[in-house]
Amino acid sequence: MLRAAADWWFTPMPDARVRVFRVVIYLFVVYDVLFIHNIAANHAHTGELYRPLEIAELLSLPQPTPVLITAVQWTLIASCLLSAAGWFPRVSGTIAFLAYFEWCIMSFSYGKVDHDRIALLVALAVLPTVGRALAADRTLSAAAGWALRCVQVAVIATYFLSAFAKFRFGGFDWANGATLVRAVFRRSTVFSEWMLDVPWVLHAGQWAILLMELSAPVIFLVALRWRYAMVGMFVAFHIATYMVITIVFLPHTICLVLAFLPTEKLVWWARDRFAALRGGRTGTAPPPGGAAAGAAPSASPSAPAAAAPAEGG
Amino acid sequence: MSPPAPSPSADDTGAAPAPPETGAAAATAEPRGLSRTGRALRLVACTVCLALLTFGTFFWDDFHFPFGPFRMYSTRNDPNGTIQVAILQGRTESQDWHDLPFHPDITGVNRAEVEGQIPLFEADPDRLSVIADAMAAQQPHLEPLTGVRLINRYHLLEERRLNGHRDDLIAVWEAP
Repeated sequence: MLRAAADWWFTPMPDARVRVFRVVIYLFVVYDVLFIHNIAANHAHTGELYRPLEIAELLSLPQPTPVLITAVQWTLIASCLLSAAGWFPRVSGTIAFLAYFEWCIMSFSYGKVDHDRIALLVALAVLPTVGRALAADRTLSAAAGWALRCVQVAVIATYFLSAFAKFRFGGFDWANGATLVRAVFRRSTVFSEWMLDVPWVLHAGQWAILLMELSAPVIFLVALRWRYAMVGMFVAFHIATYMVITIVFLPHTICLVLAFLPTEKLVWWARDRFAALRGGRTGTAPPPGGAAAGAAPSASPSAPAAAAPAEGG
Repeated sequence: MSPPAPSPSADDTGAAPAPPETGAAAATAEPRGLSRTGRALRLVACTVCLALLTFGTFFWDDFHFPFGPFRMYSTRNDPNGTIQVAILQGRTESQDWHDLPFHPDITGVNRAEVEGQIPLFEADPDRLSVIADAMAAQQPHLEPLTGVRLINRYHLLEERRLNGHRDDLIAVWEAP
């Protein structure tokens, strides 16, 4: 049983999915630190509110200054761009992880910790362990499987463990409280204002959220078709949350989609279609000057649909 | 397209892995494994991290990021209690007390950050001067603040419906 559990962590998955993951997630991190989560830059003027996290104290990390914040930011951006381009993925990816970790520590040392970053941090930590991965490569590897599995577990743990945080901080009667009333009141939108006049909707919503969180690990037990349906359910939940209270777990949602869904199929399909359009070379060899230098050649145009051996859910 | 023949699995369901693809891809169809050391190190890493995350869920707090609890919206509001909202107000030479926006680009902080440090502001009201300094640095074209105050506004609930509010002054800072 232990052996089976260990093997589950190393279920081979396509290296190509790792490649897709890298491109998207590293570019997202660049966008995040420049436009979404540039809070650290603003904290250059609120140094007196700095309250270091435990890990900052353990590692004796310095208090953020404008110089340090800028240095970390641009180190992060440079390493992410290199990683997205596939240049020295182990080194650049490791630097990106360390820089983003420091970025988070700096940002969260002013009284507010964002809880949608764990899956992203895990992704940044494990992606460099895969080494070189090409989009056209149809090889499966245990390294890719482990990395993607770690992100999958981090995503599902976010849901599952948050239910227990509700029990811990809100009590077992959390679902019968008025937490969503508070949330909607503080951050209402045109889609949610009416709910304050129909409070049973929010009451029912709390029960639905708790049940969804507690049942999240089921995703690893069901067949692929149902797994994809659950991914869709989680994505719909996050879209609804954004519409109702303008909170979006964007990095978490991106990791959810990229780790669970067979994104490599889209890439393979696109590459095969492109090759076919370029003169009938149906993917038996890479197109001239194609990006997949050294990549394994694909089979027939129908191969992407037939092959995908390891959905790796 | 014929369905793949059963063989040891490369998918999550524990079924047999699909057969190698046809064509040149067959040469690279065999999954690449990991060394025993590589597997061991990876298993130890994920076991330790999961253990810390689980422990943190029950015994730690945000302070222990990244292994703190996922406590977003975990506190329970009494359906007949109150909803607490922090209000930041400022005044200038020419303008009386007015609401200030919680925005990193304006006041240098967001609402959640201020609410997370309310006890500290209550213990040392002079910390509110940070808001005035941040605003002066980030919005120099605006009239400088001569006072900042932090208020807890309690919106009253009756069976989950809003029913009025009351304000509690937390801290006040006035420029010397």
